[in-house]
Amino acid sequence: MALLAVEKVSKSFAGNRVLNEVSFDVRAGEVLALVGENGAGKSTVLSLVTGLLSPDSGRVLYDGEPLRSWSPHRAREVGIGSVHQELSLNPHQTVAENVFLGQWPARRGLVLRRDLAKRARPLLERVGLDVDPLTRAGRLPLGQQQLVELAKALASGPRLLILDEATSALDDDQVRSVFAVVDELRAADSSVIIVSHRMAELFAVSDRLTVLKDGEVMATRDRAETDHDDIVRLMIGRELSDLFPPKAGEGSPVGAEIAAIPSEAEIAEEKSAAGVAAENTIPVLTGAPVLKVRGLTVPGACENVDLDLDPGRIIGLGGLQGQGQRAVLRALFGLVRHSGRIELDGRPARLASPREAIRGRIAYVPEDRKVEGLHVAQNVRANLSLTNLGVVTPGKRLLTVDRGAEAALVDDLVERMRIRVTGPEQEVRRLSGGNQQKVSLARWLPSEPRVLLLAEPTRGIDVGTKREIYHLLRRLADGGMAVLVTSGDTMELVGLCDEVAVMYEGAVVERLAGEDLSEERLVRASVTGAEAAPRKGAGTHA
Amino acid sequence: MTALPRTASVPRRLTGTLRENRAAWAFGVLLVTWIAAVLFAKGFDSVSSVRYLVQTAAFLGIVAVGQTLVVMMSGIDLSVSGVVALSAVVCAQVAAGSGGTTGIVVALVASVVVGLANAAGVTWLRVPPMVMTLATGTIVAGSLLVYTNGSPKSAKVSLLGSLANDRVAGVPLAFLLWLGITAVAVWLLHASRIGRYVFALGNGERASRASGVPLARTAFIAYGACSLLAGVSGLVLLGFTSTSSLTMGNPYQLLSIAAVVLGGTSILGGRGHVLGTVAGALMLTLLTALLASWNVSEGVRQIVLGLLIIGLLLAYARERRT
Repeated sequence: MALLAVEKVSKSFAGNRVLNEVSFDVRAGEVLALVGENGAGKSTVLSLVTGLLSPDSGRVLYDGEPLRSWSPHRAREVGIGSVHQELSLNPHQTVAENVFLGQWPARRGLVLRRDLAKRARPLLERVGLDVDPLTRAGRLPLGQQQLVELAKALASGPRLLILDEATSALDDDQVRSVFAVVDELRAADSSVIIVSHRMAELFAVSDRLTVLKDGEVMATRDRAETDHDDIVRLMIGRELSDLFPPKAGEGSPVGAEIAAIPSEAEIAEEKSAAGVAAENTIPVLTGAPVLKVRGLTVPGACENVDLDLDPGRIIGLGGLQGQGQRAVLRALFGLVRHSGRIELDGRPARLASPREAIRGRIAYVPEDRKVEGLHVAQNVRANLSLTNLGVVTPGKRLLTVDRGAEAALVDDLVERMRIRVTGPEQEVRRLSGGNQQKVSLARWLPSEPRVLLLAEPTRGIDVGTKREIYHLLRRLADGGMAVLVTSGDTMELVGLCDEVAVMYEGAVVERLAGEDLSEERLVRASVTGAEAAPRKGAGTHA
Repeated sequence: MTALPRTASVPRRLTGTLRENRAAWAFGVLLVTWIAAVLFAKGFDSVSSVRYLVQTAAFLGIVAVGQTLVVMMSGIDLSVSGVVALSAVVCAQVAAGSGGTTGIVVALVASVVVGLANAAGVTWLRVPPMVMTLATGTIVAGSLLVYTNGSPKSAKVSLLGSLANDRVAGVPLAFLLWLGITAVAVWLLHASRIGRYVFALGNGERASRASGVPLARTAFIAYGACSLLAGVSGLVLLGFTSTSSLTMGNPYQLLSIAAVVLGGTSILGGRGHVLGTVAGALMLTLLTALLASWNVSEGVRQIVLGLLIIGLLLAYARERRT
């Protein structure tokens, strides 16, 4: 009988359906792998199982019982333990205290440190951790902290253990210890759900694999009956339509001189023009790169990254999540300290602050719209004019903002970008995610940047707005802008970019362009990059 | 629909604006308090009483206008009490030796230096504004004690005397000075480029940095202006009383912040109007005078004033939940 059964579960966030009638089960003494791209719905499913979220429809059966009032605390009580990529340890408390967090054994209300340490030791041994239980958790390296998390999950004697990217910070020896625990649990008739981007690990340890894509279960396969290629195909297989504009050199640069989101008619026109252009090919703009990056290093985030950003081209930074893509963008906008050589128009540039980057006409649209991208408590007008005060304060009126010029600028941007607002005084936080992203992009347009950096440009945005943004980016590129995009969405990178640099552990491990730029190649490069690149403890664990 | 429907129901927008505009509320509450004072207390219905009220409100008001600049960018200046005393004491001391004009100049320069130190600590050393300004305020107070050996001088500087006590067409000069300063502050905060930076900073430092807001320049202008105005207030006070003391600035630390908040400016920054602060300063001065007219002891007066500040805050100037 299944220990856990997820039956036709659906879940939506703000009208966005992220899970659609998802069903799968986990049997007692079985290890199930959940596979899927970023945004496929894995985390949401797991949150339903651990009680962080409740489903809109469908039900989750645990031990044959439907669970209605679910909570993280109750999940632990009935024997569901979980370890996530993000650490939940309290860095200022000892390892032992962390292991028993929330269930400290007390004697007459007193927690005895020595007692705690004695009881933590066997758990630490089980996860292959040889550290003093009285060490402060924050002092341990990341991988060991991850193992403390595992010990913490084991402390409550789970019947179902969830490992959500729990091995991402571990070296091979540590991964082996985790798998030993998994085998032990399986032998004791307990169950494990494992999520990992590393295919080899999943094949090494799981009994069955369930593939999720766009919130739906594509298939569940026995390990013996499937292989890497089969799973990758299930993960990505879908159709591209005119969601994406033609690439550099394929389309006609129609209307490229105005940076505006194209209308439906214009998108159709571009599409047909692309057919014509394929015959008498328009040469790709071949100028010197606007931004030449050599040996860019941000300590702890990325190392020796080389990039050439050419006008007219959209370059992507791909790879698994958190491989240093974000640091590259932030460094190029002067937001983090970095070393390496950066040339802007052939001249060495020092990008020590965002102001210097902006002076070099570099623009940045961050992934965190609400904290870094926009002032959400302020209105659309203030947000759009803040980056353009030079434009709206004419020199003749010493430093006074010209309200008329400001209003004209804002009206123009709202119209060009098709931003849906009730008026320029509407607060940005009242706008939808898509419209917020449009504001975040629009505010840079009047200063005509030469380099545009975007992090996750379409995260949490409906597909209609995605399409508008893709077409806008291509127009900007056609107008001579160099665009650099990071994205965890492989389809987006393949559909939008002219070239994608795949990153792994802070380094570029592969560059894909033209024919080579396919979702399959990209996923393979991200994952095999993970396998090919040397890890701390060499050797394989399979 | 991409066009802007600007005409959307004017009446609703008007009431909406009124409800949102806490600065306007401040003037409303001020008016009600004043009417109540006229009706229920003696001596508030004469022209001379109004004249005296706006004259004494100017001392607090000038400090509070400066405080508004700092609070609006999510800062706070607790050193204003020290700077008020610094300016008055230094001016009296220097004026005794080198004449009034030199005294005024030296006092104002000393005041601005404190503001620049505050800004440097907040932006470059990244000390939290509350800690930084409290520390500089303490240092200033200690320095004054050392400088004066505990006994500050009295001084009659004629320019300051007339600034504090004279009238133009029946209106106190100190009040006119305050209004002039307010007009400049309104321009700075609500019409100039710097004002946009101040509001942006008050609404989020990270987004401001990523938008290219000059963080250091903005902080130096705001803290510098705040200290300068505290210095100006100290000079006017010196002119008013002709004596300087080491503790003469003390009430202004908390009252200036109370005036800003009662004026409808968010203590978290990024939201409000300088004119509200004017109402806030007038209201606090009126309340103080009202309590004084009741002939209760100093202790009771402070307790009631504190309770009134809390009550008024709850009535209309509460922070909204986000």
